[in-house]
Amino acid sequence: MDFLSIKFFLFFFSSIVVIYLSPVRYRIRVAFPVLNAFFILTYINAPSQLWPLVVFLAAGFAGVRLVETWANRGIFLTALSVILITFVYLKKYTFISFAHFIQWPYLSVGLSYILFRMVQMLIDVYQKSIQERISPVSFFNFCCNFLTFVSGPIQRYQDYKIQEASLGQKALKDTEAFDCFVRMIHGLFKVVILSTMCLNYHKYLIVSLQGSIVNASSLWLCRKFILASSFYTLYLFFNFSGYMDIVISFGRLLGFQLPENFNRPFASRSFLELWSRWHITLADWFKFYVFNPFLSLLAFRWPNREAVPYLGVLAYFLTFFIMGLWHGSSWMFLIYGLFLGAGVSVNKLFDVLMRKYFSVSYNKMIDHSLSGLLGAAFTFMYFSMGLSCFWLDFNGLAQLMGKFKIQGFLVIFVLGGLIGAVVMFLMGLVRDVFDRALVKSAVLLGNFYFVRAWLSFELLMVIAFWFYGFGEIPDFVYKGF
Amino acid sequence: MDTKLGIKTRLNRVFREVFDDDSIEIFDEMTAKDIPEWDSLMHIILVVAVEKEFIVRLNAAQVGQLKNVGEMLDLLEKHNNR
Repeated sequence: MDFLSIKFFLFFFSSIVVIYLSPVRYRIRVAFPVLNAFFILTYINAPSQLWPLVVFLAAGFAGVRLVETWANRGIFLTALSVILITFVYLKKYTFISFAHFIQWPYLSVGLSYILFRMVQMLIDVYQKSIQERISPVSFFNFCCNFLTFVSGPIQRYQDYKIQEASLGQKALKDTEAFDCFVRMIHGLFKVVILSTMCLNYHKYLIVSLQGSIVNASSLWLCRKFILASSFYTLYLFFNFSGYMDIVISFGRLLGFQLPENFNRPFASRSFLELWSRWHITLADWFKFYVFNPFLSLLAFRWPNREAVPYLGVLAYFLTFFIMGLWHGSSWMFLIYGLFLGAGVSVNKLFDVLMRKYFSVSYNKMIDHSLSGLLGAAFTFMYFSMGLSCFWLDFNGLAQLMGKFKIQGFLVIFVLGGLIGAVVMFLMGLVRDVFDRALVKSAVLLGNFYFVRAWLSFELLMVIAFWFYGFGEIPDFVYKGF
Repeated sequence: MDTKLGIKTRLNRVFREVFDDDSIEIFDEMTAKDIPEWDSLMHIILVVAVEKEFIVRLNAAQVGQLKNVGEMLDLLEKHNNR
């Protein structure tokens, strides 16, 4: 089912009706799993496409049940390995291209996020953080919750269960329901208009980049690359955060409080801070289940206080390398993982050295309007350069590498960061003027009419774009991960 | 078996050792914001030191979800009562 289709919205609104009309005792045990199953079925054309997902889920459930029954380290590690190997096989990672893959097309949407849920359950069951016996229905509902199936936000089982209990239980006030619709329309506005415009401009830049890499001047290429990578980042943000706005609003209408995934990510003044603002639930998952255990292990092994910051640098690198690798199965994502790992570990190392030799932390350094602005611009540029692994293929990257060399990419980073700082400064001024105009309009019109007028404007724009579109509206980008 | 006060005294000692600051006096609502050095790295070091002092093993979910010192004390008290 396409994200931006009438079917998608019909399904979501029907699900609200089904959940609220179904008797309480059947709501979680029957209505919700049926809706989840129906949602998944809309993605397939033949039963054979479903089997890999069924096998993956069955392997996960068997693992969880075995660890529940025998909390044995060997069984836990075996179950974890089976889940990871099945995932790598089904995602057809390039580094196992020697394997004989399933030949027919099958459903791979949602697999990456199901992996997080199954691994989290397995670890928490093994460590006794989950003490209840997980039923097959609870397992299925958690792993295949239609609200979060495609790409999160990622919830822990314990948090999910609290929300599940409130499914369809809480009657929303009029104002709460209205807020949900407002956010949904904001989300649509971001996806349909802002992300489409950014993607179209990005594509236009790509077309002019293609075929010119060898002959064009370095400065021209540099300018195009900075623009193309920046607009791809903006496209990704509007697309992903818009989708989250829609899904979180639907969740609230069902009585389901989903966690937030974004918090003004481009205000991040460091690459480390970015990961507390961008795809928050993914970063939190990795912090809980990769970074913390790995650093604990290192700190147990080398308890020297002096060594701890450097062990942290190592733990950051490994965590973000794995996180980058998770995003896709080609070699480009190996590079993306290295890029992320290098970004956070260099950021942390810089902080450690500044503390050691100048007794000042990185956060203190950027706690100033100018250094904060530069920090935000360079963070944006570094992240955008890393995201080029999403839209460049290996040959394209090799060609650019041949043209720019490492020092050329450093120039792009510095130049892009400085230009970004100027743009961010100007945008800050424009935003101030815009905000003041909005407040004035709200006072003149009255808040009630102003909100509805603004909403109508957004809705009209969405309808105009959707039906009389200016180019193809992109599907939800993270569906592919 | 330690009393809650006994656990708090031992935990206070761990805090002073980890953050190398003898003036630290822990309180229930105390969070990372109250100690400038308490970042995500020091949090793990603190947890490791707590595990060694109280001879307990805290799992990933417990480590990740501690919101303040009071929650850490409650958790240690639970382990102490087992």
